[in-house]
Amino acid sequence: MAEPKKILVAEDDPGLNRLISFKLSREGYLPFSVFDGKAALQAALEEDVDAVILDIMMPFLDGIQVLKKIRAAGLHLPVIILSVKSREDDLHQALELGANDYMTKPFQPDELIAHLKQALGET
Amino acid sequence: MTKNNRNPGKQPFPRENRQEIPAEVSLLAQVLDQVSDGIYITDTERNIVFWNQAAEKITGYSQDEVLGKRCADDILKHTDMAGNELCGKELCPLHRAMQTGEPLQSPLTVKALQKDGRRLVMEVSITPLRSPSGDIIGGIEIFRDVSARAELEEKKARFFSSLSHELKTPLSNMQGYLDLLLAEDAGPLNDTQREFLTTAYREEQKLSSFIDELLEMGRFEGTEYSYRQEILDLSGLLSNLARGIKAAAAKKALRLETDLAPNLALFGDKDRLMQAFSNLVGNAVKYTEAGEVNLKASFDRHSDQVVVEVADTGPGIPEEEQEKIFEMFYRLDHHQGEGTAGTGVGLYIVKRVISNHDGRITIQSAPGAGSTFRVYLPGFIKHPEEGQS
Repeated sequence: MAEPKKILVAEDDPGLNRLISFKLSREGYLPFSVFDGKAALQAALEEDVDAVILDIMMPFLDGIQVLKKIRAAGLHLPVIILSVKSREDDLHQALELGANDYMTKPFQPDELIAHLKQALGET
Repeated sequence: MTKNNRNPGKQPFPRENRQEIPAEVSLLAQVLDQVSDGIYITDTERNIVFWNQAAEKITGYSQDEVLGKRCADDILKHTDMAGNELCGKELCPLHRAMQTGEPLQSPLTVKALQKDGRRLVMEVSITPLRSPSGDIIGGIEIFRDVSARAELEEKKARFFSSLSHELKTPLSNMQGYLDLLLAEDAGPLNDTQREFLTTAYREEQKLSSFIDELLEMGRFEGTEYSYRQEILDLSGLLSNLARGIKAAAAKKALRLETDLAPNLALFGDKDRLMQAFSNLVGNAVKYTEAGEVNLKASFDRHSDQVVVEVADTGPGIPEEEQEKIFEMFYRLDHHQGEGTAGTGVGLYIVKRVISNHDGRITIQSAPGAGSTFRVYLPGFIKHPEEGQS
């Protein structure tokens, strides 16, 4: 079997972070959890992850800033944005900045996996 | 060169010289001076020939400082709400009104510079000025300061944005964990456990849906002044929208086809239009069980409108209900009680957003034959080389 793909989970809500990580493990991925924007950026740059699930509203550095810096660093890995529906402006901005996809909360864990597989080119 | 010989025949009307101008004009000028909205009149070159007292009060510039100057270029430096300049000739609303001979259909919200350097939010109405023989001889701009209201709405929007986050996070937790349990990701369930969890899940979905719509309504109602009008890349916006909805369509084994003409642009509120189009496309995916959802966008040169079409192969809407679906809180009977809970504000919001952009929406549908929504909005083609904002 191939090495499991490492997925960065950047979500400040502990419940949601655990939920996503749990589902990722169940699906055979290796989750790497962080709970704020600074840690997310550091992990994206240093942890050799295959994809990022990125919440927008996070402490220290919001998801938009993290995305900007990831792309500015020349990293082209898939990024899936998590946000609430009432912030279409953010979603639009994130896609402009090179996010691959977005999901609005609340989301179904299965749906997130479907988006992730698509972003990773596994479907 | 003085302003007078620059514009022979179209001399400014300073207050002290009004005895020299025809009596009826002088009378009118006195009236215009007394209204509380700022009013100025320009000649066809956009040089200011009249500036009322309210305009002085609102902007801080006296008539002596502005008569003969180019309106917004020199004085008010209008920008859209996102800060993009509007004074370029093609974008200047006053210039456009004089070119087309048509008044602006609805007031524009812009930012303008006061003499002391502060930026005001102004609501602006614009109309071309015609001579008795019908020739366009200038333009009129009427404006009022809506900064206080705009600020209040900005606060309201921020409040709803954070309220939304605060409500959605616990809901996302509840739904997600119930999902995991029901998918037996955390171990097998007996029948009773499954039944109870299914009930909890269904009720959570309803709650979530209601909260969604409540929030949508809350941030939508009474926020006309917080519309951020800016030059929008509609083609890009729609293609991003399609990208976001692709997975939801794929999950239901629906084909999502897009046919988007490039460089479509319009003056509008990005957030609101995204909300409207995402409601339309979202509905199409939500109510269609098999087949495809089509998103098309094109430009109609005859009417200078962008046309966005959302077509589905869903259940269709009977003719007698087609008007009602745009009413607030209206829901189609056959959708009651299914997994698609809602209060029926989605299409109401769509219609309001579209009409606030001087557009209109039509529907073509029949039971069993799918539905096609068409949105017509005043727009233009913006080639990338024509100055990036």
